[in-house]
Amino acid sequence: MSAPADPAPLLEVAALDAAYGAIRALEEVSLTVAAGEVVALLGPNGAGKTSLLRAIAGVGPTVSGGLRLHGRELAGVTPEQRVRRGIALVPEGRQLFGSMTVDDNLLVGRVGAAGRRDREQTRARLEELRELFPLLRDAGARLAGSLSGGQQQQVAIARGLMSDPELLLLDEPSLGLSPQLVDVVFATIAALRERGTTMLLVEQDVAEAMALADRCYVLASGRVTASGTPEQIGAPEDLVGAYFGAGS
Amino acid sequence: MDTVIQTLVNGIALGGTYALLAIGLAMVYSVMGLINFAHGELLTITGYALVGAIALGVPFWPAALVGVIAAALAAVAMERIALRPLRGASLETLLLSSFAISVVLQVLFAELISTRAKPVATPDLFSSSVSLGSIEIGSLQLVTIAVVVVLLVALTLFLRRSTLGRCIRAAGIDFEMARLVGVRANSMFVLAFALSGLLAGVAGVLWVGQRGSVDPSMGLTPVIAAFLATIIGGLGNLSGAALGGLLYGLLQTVLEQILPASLQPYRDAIVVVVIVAILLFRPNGLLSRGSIGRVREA
Repeated sequence: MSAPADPAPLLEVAALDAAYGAIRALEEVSLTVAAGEVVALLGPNGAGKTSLLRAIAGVGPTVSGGLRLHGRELAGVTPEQRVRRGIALVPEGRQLFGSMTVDDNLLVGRVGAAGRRDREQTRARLEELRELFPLLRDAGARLAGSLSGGQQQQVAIARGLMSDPELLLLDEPSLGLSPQLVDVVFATIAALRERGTTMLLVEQDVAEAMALADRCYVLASGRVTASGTPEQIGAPEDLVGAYFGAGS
Repeated sequence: MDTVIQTLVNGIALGGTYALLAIGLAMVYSVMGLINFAHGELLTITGYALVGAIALGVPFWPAALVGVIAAALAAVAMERIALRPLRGASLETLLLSSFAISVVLQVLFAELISTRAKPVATPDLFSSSVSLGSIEIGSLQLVTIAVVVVLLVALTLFLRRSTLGRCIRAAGIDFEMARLVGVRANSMFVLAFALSGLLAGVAGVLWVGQRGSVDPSMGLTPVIAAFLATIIGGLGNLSGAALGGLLYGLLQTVLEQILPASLQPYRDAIVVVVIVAILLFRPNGLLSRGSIGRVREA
């Protein structure tokens, strides 16, 4: 007999408010991410996309409202416990441990995994990621800070995946990269999508984000203003025009 | 030539003791952003634990182990009782708190034990010397150098090769990011304090070995030296702290050797002038911009 399907979405954000002191970053934001889905958060700068990812990861602004993973409330759960529950954030700007080697970055990324104490599992996970990111095989002993931006982004994504996350939060993975490296990063995300990795993606390149996503949410001034499949949202260029038209 | 070698050995031994203290300070600074001025009291706690254990009939070396463990536990207690409740407070608040811990402990030592120095019967090894040709080198100095080398190697291996070591380095580089990959924040604080206490405990045993006594303010001079050592090396940088400690000890010993008697009272002032000169050229210390994560570059 097969197990009954989980009726709850993997991630559920319900009427979430967030503020940095007196400044409101998010207002009544609601969204869901189902297992295996890629969901894109779109919107102009300052719309609250990064704040939302950080709030989900537990390091964001003060929040109120519902934030649940597999139906379990995340309020009061520390960032490190959220990693153990299956959330991994790949932050904007990578934030690698620059003076540590690539291998050490990956091994630190493993401390939140359920199988962290099993050397075989860790080795297998490393091998799996080295297949996905061949760079890791050659650059393992190099200092992470010495890599190019695109290479660092790959290491940052791999570090996030080391904890075997159920939900990968990707914040502006192409930011600051040359067009060539951007292609590499998007190819990486597409490969992860093929493998069934659940992702909540914040990306400035609206066309690429929509091409990768199953569903999208559009944020403006901390509120969700539209949601749906990429087709329902409309053409990327119209959406970008709407950002500026909204003057936000 | 003999004098030069003897001075170097003495300087390295003294500097090694400072280095152990300085690394502890740097480790806590790296993770917490705090210079713990109560670090010197960990030496004093080691000393009194040593005295107490010997008074109970425990032989010197097991008593020394008791002293080291006492220092590690005291360091963890400092973090849990006095500093953790203030996490997130301003740097000034944390600094004042560490000063307060230092003063309170010194008063407690004076009131509950004695203001007078308690003599410690050290093993004969500490007062003996080894002849290397025409050079006589103190056994204590050799033991100190050996202990410092072993500890530095062990610490480096721990930080580079173990999961906990990687986590504490990661937390030292980017604390928030470390939490975001699952590193337990509180454990890193406790671990950093425990390690700093452990190193202070070992330094305490060596310091007591040199002085032969324990008094309430015995930690003050070495902790100031260790603080200056961390400044020389670059705040929060373990390799820098070790280097700074060694340089400080060497400088003190060399000046003691070469300065005429009339200038000896100015020795420490001259050391500080040299440090200021170093900082003029390297404002962030010799191995600047570091954190605990940079230990691998040692």
